[in-house]
Amino acid sequence: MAGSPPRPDPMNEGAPSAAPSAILDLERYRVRLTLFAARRTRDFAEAEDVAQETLKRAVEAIQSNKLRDPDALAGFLFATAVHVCQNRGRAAGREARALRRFGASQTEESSRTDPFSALISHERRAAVNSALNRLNQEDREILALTYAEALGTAEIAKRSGLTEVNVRVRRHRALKRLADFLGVTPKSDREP
Amino acid sequence: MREIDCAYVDEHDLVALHLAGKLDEASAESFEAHFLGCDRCAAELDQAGALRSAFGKPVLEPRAVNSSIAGPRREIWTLLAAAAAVAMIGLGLRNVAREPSAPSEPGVFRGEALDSLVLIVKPGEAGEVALEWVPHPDALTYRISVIRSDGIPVTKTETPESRVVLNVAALAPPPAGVSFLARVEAIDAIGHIVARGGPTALFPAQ
Repeated sequence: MAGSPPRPDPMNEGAPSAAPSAILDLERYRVRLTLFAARRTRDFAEAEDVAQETLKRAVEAIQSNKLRDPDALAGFLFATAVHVCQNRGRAAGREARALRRFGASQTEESSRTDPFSALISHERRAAVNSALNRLNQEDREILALTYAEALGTAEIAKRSGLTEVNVRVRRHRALKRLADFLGVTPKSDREP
Repeated sequence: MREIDCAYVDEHDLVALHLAGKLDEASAESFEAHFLGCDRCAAELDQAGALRSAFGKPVLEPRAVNSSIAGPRREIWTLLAAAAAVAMIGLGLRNVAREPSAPSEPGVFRGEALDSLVLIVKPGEAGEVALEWVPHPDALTYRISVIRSDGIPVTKTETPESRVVLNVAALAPPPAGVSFLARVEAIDAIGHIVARGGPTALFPAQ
């Protein structure tokens, strides 16, 4: 919007005009970090904050030359995100105790059944739903058992009377057909 | 924490199980450490989340929380805590290690206190004392401090292992009624203390 101050971006705060490619590359870790934090925070906004803080620290580490080895980045992000979650947890604990001391009631946990539905946009959910409906019953069933019910290959094989190898092959084919309907590159064709 | 690769992820259906909250804490952490750095598994996780959402399931389910200790690491800590208590009573030591803090459950923040390391003291030959503790999952190194019970610092050392052997006989003998105490701090990859054990007496005061 014209005239509005730009939102601070930790990826560019204080960065030189020619930002190292390592810093620019960090953005692709944002969703992963959000999912990482989601399991610990159980709150989407909090998980996003953890991801933001972790990326900010990574930028600082790269700019101050403390993180030079690209292979060490994932380990650094993991350790940092754990630390950020722990610190936020301690702060939340102190805040909750302070509120209790003043007789305030604790904020009720969100009654939403899926606080992380925001990770998947409405449009994407609708597109995947539409693609699922175009699959045959067998394909839809194996994907439902795998991802919705999370039964595991061995359990699916046992229930369906197939071998585990058969289950994996059928799932692979179902995912490929789904990807065709969605117009994306299937997982098996991605580089390992 | 166990290091895993993509083949392991596929073979054990970790993507689907993780989003459904069916992995134990150790497996979930191992998987998280892997997918943070793996484009392939991160993409599969993203796809699986979209599928769960399209099937009307939450993208990420919390892990089932029960009253028992969550995860094999915490079970080991509890067993060693019991063993340490017995060992310390048997050695007649006056300082008792603190009880391990309540295990953190997935989706629940830890409290303000650091995790506790339960220290086990094993006297050895020729004035040596071995100090052992259960490795902390977040620790990169451990800092061991030996102090006198009157507060005078004596020596410090660091080790990535969960065991250290101290040559107490080589230290200047303390005054009568003063004993040597040891404290251990677990330090993570970015230099923060994540757990602490002790002070624990290495020898009873003379």
